[in-house]
Amino acid sequence: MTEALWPQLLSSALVGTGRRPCRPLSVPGPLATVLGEAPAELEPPGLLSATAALTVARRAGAMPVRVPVPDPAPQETGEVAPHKASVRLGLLLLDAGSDHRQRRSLLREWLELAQQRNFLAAPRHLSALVDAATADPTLRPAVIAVGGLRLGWLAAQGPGRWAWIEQPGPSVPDIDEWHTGRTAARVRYLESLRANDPAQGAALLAQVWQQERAADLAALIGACAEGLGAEDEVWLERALDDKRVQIREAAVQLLAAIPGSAYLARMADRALACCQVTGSGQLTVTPPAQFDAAMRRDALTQKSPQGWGERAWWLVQVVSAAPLRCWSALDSDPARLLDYQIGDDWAGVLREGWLRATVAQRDEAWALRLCRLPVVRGAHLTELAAILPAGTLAELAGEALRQQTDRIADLLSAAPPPWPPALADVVIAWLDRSAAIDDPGWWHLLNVIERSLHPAAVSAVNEILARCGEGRYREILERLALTLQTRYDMHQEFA
Amino acid sequence: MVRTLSGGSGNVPRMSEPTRWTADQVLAVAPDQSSLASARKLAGSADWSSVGVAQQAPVLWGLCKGSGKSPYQTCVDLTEPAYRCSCPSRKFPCKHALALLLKWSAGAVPVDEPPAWVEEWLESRSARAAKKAEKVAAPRTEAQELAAQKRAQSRHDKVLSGVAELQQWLSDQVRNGIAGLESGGYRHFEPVAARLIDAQAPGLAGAVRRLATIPSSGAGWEERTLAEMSMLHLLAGAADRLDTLPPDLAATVRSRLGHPVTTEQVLAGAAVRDVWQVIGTRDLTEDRLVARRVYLIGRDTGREALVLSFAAPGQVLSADLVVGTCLEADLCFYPGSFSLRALVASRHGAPELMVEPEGSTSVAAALDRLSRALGADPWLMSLPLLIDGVIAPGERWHLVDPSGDALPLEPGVECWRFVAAAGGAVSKIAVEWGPAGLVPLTMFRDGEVLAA
Repeated sequence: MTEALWPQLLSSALVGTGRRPCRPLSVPGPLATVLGEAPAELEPPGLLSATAALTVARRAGAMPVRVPVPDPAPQETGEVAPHKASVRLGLLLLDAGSDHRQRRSLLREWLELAQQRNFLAAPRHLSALVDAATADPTLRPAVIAVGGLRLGWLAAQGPGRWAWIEQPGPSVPDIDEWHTGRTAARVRYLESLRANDPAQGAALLAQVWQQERAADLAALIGACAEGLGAEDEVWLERALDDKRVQIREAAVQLLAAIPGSAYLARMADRALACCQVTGSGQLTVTPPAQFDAAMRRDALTQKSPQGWGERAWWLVQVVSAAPLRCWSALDSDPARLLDYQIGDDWAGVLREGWLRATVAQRDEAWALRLCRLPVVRGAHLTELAAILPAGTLAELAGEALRQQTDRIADLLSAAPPPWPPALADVVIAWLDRSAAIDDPGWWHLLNVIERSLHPAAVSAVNEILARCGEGRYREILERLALTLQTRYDMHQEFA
Repeated sequence: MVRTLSGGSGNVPRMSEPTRWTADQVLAVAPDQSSLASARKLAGSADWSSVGVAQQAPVLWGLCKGSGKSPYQTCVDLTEPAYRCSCPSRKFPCKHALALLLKWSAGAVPVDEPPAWVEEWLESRSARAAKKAEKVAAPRTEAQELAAQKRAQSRHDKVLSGVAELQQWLSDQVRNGIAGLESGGYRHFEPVAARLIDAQAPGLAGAVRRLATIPSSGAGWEERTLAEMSMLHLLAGAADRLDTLPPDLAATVRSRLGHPVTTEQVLAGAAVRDVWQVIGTRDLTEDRLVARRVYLIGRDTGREALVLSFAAPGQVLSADLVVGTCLEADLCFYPGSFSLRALVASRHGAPELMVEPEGSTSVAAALDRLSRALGADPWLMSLPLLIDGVIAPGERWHLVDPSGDALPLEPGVECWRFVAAAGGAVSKIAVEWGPAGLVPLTMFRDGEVLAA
C-alpha cells in the first residue's frame, strides 16, 4: 500500500510542490493517524511528515529478499600449511607500509616453500593472495598451486573477475576459435597446429595472409616459432617483401632462429664488411655509409632513436643481428675481439652490438668475456651474468668480491637463489672484511644478498655482527641478520 | 619459578595464566601499519630479556634493548589493555609493547613473578583510577546545579531558533523541488549547517552535512535525499515539542540534536553487567576526525552496545576492546529510548578469548530485532547484527541465511575475504545495519576471528 503513495510524494518533491502540488489519492489506514483524515493537498511540511512515516515504515518493516544460497566449495584434498606458517603468511599479506619490496620477496619465498612441500594456503588468506597476484602476474603460478580447490571455487563466485585463475580453454583448441576467436585464441590454435603439423600451419596462415590486419598477422607469424624449421624460410623470405614493417620484424625474428638461414648470412656479411683487422690486435671500424633498400627489407630501421647517431645506430643493429660465429673470420677465438684496439670512436658502439648479440644468442664464451670488462655494468651486466652457468658465475662473483669493485650487486643479482655454498662462502667472507665500506650502492647489494643467501647463513652473519663496532655498517649487518633470521624462521615453520 | 608453556593452552586452568590473544587480535590493537611492521621484526629479535607474564594478574613485561644504554621497560596490562614503555615513542601501544604481545601470542613468554618496576606501575595505575572514581562520585553543589540549569535553558532556546530555520529550509527545498540539488554541490547545504552550529545543534549540523553528500551518491539519490530530509523534518518537529515527549524519547531527540552528555552523567545511570562479546569494529572519518565504532553484544542479555572513540588525524585510536574477546563488565548506556551507545564503567577481570560469540540469529529474527529498535528510535542509523549465514557475491551482494532469507549489503561493499574463508559454509557473521544496507564487520569460523 505504501508503494502507491511513495512515487506521488517523490514526484512532487522533485519538481517542487509549487509546480506540482501533492494530492494523494488515498492514504492507507495506519498512515491516516499521522497525516490526519485524507488531506486534499499536502503542503511541504505535510509532505515531509508523510515521507518520514513511510521511510520509517519501510526501514522497520523491511522483509528479507530471497537469494539462492551459494554452492559450497568442494572438500579440499590437499593439506593446509602448518599453523605457524599460516600465521606468517597472514603477517606477510598485511599491507604494511614499510619496505614493500622486502615483504614481496618474502611472500614469494613463502609461496615457493609451500609449493615445494605441497601445502595449501589457508582459505582465509586466499583473497589477499589473489589481490597480490592480480597486481603481480609473476606470483600467479605459485598462488594457483597453493590455492587448492577453494581457489577455483572462489573464481567461479566472481565470474570474469580473475580470468587468470579460471582454467584455460580446451587443451586442444578448436578450429572455431581460429575462425571467430580473438587474436590470442587464434595464436593458440595456430601454435597447437604447428606443433603437430608445421606445414599445415604455414598453409593455414597463407590462406588468410591477405585479409589480416598488420598487428594480427605479426602475432600469427610469431606463433609459427612453434615447429620452426628450414622449410619455413621460403615463406618468411617472401614476408620480407611486405610493405608493413611489423610483418618484416616478425619474420626476421623467426629467420634469425633458423640456423644457416640466408638472412643470417646477409647480416654476417654486413657486419664483417664494417670491420677490418689492421695489424695484430687492431680493428678498424667503418659503419655502413648508406641505408639501402636491402637493409630496409631485412627489418633494420633507418631512423635512429634519440641519443644515437644514424651510422652508429645502423652499425649496432647490424652487429647485434649477426651470428656471433661469423666473427671467427677475423679471429679464431672470436670473443678475443673484445680485447682488440679499436680505432676511432666506434669501439663503444661495436661492443654494444656484440653485447646485444650475446644476450640474444645466449653465448657463454662471449658473456664471460664481456662480464670481465670493467665498462660493462648495471642491468647489462646482470643480463650477461644470467647466461653463465652457476659455477662460472660464482667464480666470477668471487673475483669481483676480492677486488672490491662496485659491480658486485649487478653480478650477484644474476645468481639464482639459493646460492651454491662456494658463492655463499665468498660473500660471507667478504661481509667480514667490508666493515669500512659505506656507500649508497650498499642497499641494493644488501637487498640482493638478503634474499639469495641461504637463511642458515644467519649464524655466520651473527658472528660477524658480534665482532662489529657501532656505526652504519653495523646497522646494515643488523638488518641483514634480521631478514635472514626471518627467512630462517619461515623455513622452520614449514618443518 | 619459571616454566615454559606448552603449545596448547586449552587445558591450562583459568586462573593460572591470562588467555593468550591470537596474532590477529594483536594486529587489531596496532596504531598503524608501520608500528606493526617494526614490532614484527622486533618480536623475533634477540634484543629481549627478562620477559614474563604474571601468574595471577594479567600483566606482561619485558626489557628490550634500544639505542640507549639501559634497555626499555615495556609492560602491558591486559585488563584494559593498558600499555607502558620507557621508550620515547608517542604511539600507543608502541612497537615494543606490540612486539611483546606478539611474542606472548606465539607462546614465547614464560610465567614469572613480576619485577619491582612492574609492580610499581600497577600500583600507580590503580591509585589514579581510585582518584578518578572519587571525582566522579562527588556531587555538585547547589550553585553549580543552578548555573548548569541556566546554561541548559539558554542553550535550548538557541537550539529552537536553529530548528525553526531548519524547518523553513526543508520546506523551501520541497516547495522549489529537490531535482536541482544534484548539481548544486555542498555549497547549497553549508550555510544551513553553519547556522545550526551557531545554534548549538551540532547533531543537526552533522545530519545536514551528511545529507549534502547524498545528491552526488549515484543512482537513486533522489529517493535517499528525500528520505533523509523527511527524517530531519521529523527530528525538527520532535525538537519543537520536546516537553511533551516521554522522557526516554526526549533524551533520544536531544542526543540527535547534539546536546552534550557528560561521562559523569552516563556513569551515573544504571549499569548493565554482562559478559560483553566484542563482535566488530569499524573506523569512519567524519569532519576530519576518525571515529572508531566498537560493537558489543551481551552474552546473557543479548543487548547490543556501541562504544565510540575519536581521534584527530595522526592520533591513535583507543584499542582497549579487542574483537574476538569478551569481558565481564558493567556498561552504562547513554540515555534514550533505544540506547546503543555505552561506556565501560568497570571491568571484572581480564578479557577472555571468545571462540564463537553467542546469540547469533536468522535473518528474520535479526529483522525483528531491527524493527523493534527502529520503533524506539526511528532515527537509528546503525545497529550491530549477528547472523548465521553466508556472504553471497553478485551484482548486489547479500548476506543469506540457510533458509534463503537474505539482506543486501550496502551498494559497492564487497567482502571476498569472507567468501574465500567460508567456502559457502554457514558462519557467524557480525554486520552493521544501516539504511543503505549491511556492512560486514567480522566473521567467526572454526575458532578464527576474521575482520572484513
